[in-house]
Amino acid sequence: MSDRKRQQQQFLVLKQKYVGIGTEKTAEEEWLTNVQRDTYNSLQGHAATLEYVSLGAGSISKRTTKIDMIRKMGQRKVRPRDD
Amino acid sequence: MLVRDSELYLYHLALKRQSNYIHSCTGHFIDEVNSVAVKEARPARRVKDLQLCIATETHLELYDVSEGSLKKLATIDIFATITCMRSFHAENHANSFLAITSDSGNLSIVRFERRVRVDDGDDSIILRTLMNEPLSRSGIRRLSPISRIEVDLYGRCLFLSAIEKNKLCFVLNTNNDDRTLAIQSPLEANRPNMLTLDTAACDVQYENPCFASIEIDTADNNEVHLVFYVLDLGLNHIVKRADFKIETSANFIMGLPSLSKYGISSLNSATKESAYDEDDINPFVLIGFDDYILVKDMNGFYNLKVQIPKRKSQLKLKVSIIAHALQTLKKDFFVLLQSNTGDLFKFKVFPEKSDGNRPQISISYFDSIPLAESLHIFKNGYLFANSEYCHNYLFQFESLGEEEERTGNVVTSLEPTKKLNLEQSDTLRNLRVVQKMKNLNPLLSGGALSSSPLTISTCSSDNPSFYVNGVNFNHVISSQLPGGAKSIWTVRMPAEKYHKLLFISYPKSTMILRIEDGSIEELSTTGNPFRLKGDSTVLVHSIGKRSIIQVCENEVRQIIFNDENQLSSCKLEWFPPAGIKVVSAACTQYQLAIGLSNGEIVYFEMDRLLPEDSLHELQNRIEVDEIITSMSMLSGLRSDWLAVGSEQSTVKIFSLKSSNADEFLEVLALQTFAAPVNDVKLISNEQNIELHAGLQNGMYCSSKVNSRDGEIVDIKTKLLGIDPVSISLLDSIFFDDLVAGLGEEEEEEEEDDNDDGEINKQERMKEEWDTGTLKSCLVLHSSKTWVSYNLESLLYVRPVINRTNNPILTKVTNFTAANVKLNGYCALNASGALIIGKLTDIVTRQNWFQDYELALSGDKEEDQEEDESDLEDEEEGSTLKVPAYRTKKIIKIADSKGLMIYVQNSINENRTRVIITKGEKVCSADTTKESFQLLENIRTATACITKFSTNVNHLVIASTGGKLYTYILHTSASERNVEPSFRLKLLHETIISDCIHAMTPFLDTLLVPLFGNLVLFGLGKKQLLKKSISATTPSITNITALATWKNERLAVGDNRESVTLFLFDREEYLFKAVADDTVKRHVTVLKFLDESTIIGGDKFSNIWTLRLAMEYEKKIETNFPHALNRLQDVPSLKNKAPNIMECPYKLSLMNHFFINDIPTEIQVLESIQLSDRPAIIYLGLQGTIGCLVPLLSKSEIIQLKKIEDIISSADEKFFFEQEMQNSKKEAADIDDGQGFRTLRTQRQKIPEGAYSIVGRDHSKYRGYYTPRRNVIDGDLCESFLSLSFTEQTFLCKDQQGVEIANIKKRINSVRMNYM
Repeated sequence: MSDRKRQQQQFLVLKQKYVGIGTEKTAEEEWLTNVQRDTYNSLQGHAATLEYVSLGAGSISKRTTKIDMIRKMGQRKVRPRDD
Repeated sequence: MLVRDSELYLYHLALKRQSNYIHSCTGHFIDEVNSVAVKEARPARRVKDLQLCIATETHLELYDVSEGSLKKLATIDIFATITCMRSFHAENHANSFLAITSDSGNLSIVRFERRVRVDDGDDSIILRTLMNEPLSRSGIRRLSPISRIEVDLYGRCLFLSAIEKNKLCFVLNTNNDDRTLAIQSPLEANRPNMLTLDTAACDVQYENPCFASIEIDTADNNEVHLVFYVLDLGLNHIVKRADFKIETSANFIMGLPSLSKYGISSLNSATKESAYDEDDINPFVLIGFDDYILVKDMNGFYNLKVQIPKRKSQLKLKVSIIAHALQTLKKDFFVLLQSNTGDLFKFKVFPEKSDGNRPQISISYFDSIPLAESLHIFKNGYLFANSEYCHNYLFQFESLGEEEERTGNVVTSLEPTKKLNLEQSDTLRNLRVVQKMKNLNPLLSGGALSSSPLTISTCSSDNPSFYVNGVNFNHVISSQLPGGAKSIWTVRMPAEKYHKLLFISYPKSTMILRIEDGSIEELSTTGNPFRLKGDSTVLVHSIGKRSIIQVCENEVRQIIFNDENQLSSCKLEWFPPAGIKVVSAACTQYQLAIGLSNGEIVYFEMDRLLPEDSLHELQNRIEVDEIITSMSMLSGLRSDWLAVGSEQSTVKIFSLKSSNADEFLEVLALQTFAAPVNDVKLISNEQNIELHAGLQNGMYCSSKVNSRDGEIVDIKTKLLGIDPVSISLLDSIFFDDLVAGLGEEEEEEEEDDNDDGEINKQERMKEEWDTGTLKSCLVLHSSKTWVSYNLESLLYVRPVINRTNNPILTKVTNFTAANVKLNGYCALNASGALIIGKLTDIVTRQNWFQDYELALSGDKEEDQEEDESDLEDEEEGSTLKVPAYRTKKIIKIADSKGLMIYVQNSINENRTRVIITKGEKVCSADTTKESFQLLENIRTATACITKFSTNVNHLVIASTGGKLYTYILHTSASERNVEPSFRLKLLHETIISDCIHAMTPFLDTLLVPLFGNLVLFGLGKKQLLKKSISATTPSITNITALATWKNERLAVGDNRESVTLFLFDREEYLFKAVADDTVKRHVTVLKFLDESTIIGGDKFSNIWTLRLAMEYEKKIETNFPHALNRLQDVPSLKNKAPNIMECPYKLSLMNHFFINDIPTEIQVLESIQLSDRPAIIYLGLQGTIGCLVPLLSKSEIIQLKKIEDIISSADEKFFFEQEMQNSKKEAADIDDGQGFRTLRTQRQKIPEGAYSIVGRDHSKYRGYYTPRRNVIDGDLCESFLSLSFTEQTFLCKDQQGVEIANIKKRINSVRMNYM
């Protein structure tokens, strides 16, 4: 039993370190948060997609779009898991 | 590599690199060539930062601005995605370093270095990697600390941050012994759930380095924090020194200079008794919010707020700061801030005298320029704006905005709520445009106007622009000659500087023009010693010291100048035997060879020691048993070779070496060609002797002649047209100028107004002439005119661009005169006009296209066809037009000669603008006489030209409001000699209530995708009428691209659902889905390559081809349309999973390639520059123009693949080699001493991944999302050419059958023959 607890603890430490890993118990919300953050990060991180989105959305400036994208990464809140 | 017949192999080349410069930094990266010695003596002295390094995601460019213009020094390709780039100075180093993070997951510290190549003396600037420090996994990830780099102002440490959570700090040291840069292992400052919006380095003098960042706490309601990190150099750890909650609209941060330096008290006097020491430096940062800016310090004493001025026209718009530039002066400093409306503001911090010199801030309007990604101020008074879109500009400061300050248009933090409104105009107030750097970004649409010369029409700013691949033969004068002119010669006496006489030969006569003081007049016929009537001239050349030789068909005359430099009488007259004619002649300064129609060659030579120019005929004539068509000798004093081309398809090389009497006038080498030889030319270029032959079937052959035995080797051929190829020689072309690219314009300007520069240049040219670097180029005449020249060991054969009434030149010769000193030419064009002009731009590998922009009415520039250099006149300085339109669609109107239609959307207003160009001219609108027509209240989503069932072109514009506007388009462009004009008349509107993104003409209808259905519209009287509605598969929801094949097939590209192939059933008048894809692709553009192959591009910067397998094609052929339902690749799956088997068949992937730019247009061109195969040209959003060439033969594929493999494995190879060497050395060191180890030799240290600069695996880069398939990266192959000779030899060492020369030839042949 203690082994399992330790494993679990280790897993949580790793999870803290490597954000984005999940288990079979990972809630949909958490998973979606990660997907959303990865997506927006990718959109703002590649110059081509940032420009594409920026032009498509009729945004004034690419920098504004970039800031908006980063803000959107944080919009869904991760619900703290209780276990 | 296994090559299969059924597969498609493509060779990729980016002809024009992308121009979305998202990174830029300044520094002093490299010393000028001549100042190297000076630098050695005083290594520690800091030089002003007058160099600029700008980078897109995939390449870097280095510029020098010290002379007030952007002088390009180097372009370096990086096969990786650069995510951040910063420059920094390190202690004890004179030159700046670059810190680059990329998707390789490394932090790379690199430096520019100069390298002179041993084998060809090529002096180039390379990027040397000093270290590659692994940080994280590859790819652009939110937790990888690659998104931002901040550098301590004194180069003590680097602060890297990821978007989420991670921050790293690297401490930089300089090794004392060998002054190399060293990096410590990183210090972490991780904060979970924090998103970093922006970071900045603070100025703390030599205190512990301090960095500030704006972070969003996602765990705490998305509160925004301002966080200060301080690196404790003593304890070697990083601490979070301060954390302030700020308003959530914060989006920008920059560090301000240390205020105490400028006499501003940075500490709070009220807290004097507190723990803060007077000497403590309190760093200040400027934070940008929506509508206002705030200045805060680390200790939290100050909150200075000031409102950002707004434009009167855009009061509702939220303004924020997007870019900044800091200028520090001796006693003062100011910051230029740019808002998202493009306005520049001057921001200052001043001491408030009444309040103990505590700081207050002020902001005033400065100027308006296009939105910038970043701004840089140089110490010599220039400002570089790296624009977000379109062109980059170099400005010069005219004033520092004191005017605004004096008139009181300033807001200060004393009144934090006061708002300033400003009137914006196009006129620049404090800046002046010095140079415009043309960029194609964003390239939303475009098309090829012609394929030979390859002309691409685009429109990334307001005005249509053309990108032409060819060598510019600018004309200065062109005048019509009496008809029938055959050939021209210009004659310059050896002792003179300029050409004086111009001979024009006609079938039965000759005309002589005299050039004097800029005017040209006919030489009087009386007392003229030349033969003018009754014979045709074959050759005119200066010979000896002061003679001219005129070779006519039936006579040879030598005319000598007397002492007064006047033409005097005939010195020598020579006649061929009766009934025999002179067919060809070749001449040097002391030799003359004459080919006769009976196959004999008469050889004359002059004794150069004797003062009188007397020619002696050699008694024995050479007999060639063939019909001589042309002869050539090396130009210059005396040639050792004579090349003779014959009707019998051979070229013979005769020896004229006077030292070897045995071989004299003997045939040394013989080369047989595929067709009769029309013209030969022997030239010497860079110690090589080259033989160029033009054949009667339109082929051109370039080869090298072995200078020892005359053997002809290394033959390269290219088809130039259908007519026999004749060759004109232009020697003494000053290539350095032509290659210089951007710098060249400036020099040209200098040339016009600055005579000193001209003189210097002349001197330089003389030097060049002495050292032999003045090169020759050949002009080749066939049904088109071409230029052939050697550059960087590559042979270029490119079309001539000549904008006179007839672009075909029949004969070109050298020309220098007082007003055309360099690179001049004199030519005869096909319609018999004499043209005098100048070579201005040539094609190089780096600079494949010449660009020019068309002026529209309302623009300042009147000249429509002027070259770019003329557009950048000084008048432009006073105004700067910010682009007001964005081109939505460029359509080439089919079966009309060169009509292009540009549909543009206004950026700020609800309006569409239509421009039509014919060839390279703008058509004017009939109604307004302006060069465009405005369509009010329409925002175009897409547009299309179709004829329906009429003979008239209809322009259909789909608006974002869900309407189709049908216009009738009339153009007068088809009529000759009429100023081209057009008229657009609105026929009717059709409501479709869907915003569509693609339309295409199909049969005599218009195909419009509506709500996932394919609707065919016919032309009606009141509106467009639906003729047929075919349902698509249920998964298609948002159609973004359409392509048709011969009105039989349709490829539909969906925003997510990749490509679905439809066949048109003519009986039911419906489309039937036949095949779809197995992968979701986000299609942006599609094109059919053949009936079953589709090429397309997606949003994630890939290009791919899909094909319907042959077996399916056969089944469809027999079963379509009747038994389509019975066709099913996997029938059982159809019932179980109908959603994935919506179509009977699946397309298979043929090619896949990551181009790092979103394709916006793909065109298949039948034959680019008369190549033997079709090629694909694509345009990318960020300004890429690229090419994909199909590889047809197995050997070609294998060879090119091998070259690519060699280069892509270079990283590993070099690293292994180095490790081997080092371990050997170490072993040797240990053996050396008796028991103790002596390090005789330093361990060599090239970091891993130094050859790809950032350590990115090439195959991973090109297979960023999906593994690359059957595409060979020509860009990588060409990077072989820029390696040093030792590196090239090393790479080829263990490869069987691969030699450097072979690789170069192979790479060259692709550029030369296929594009």
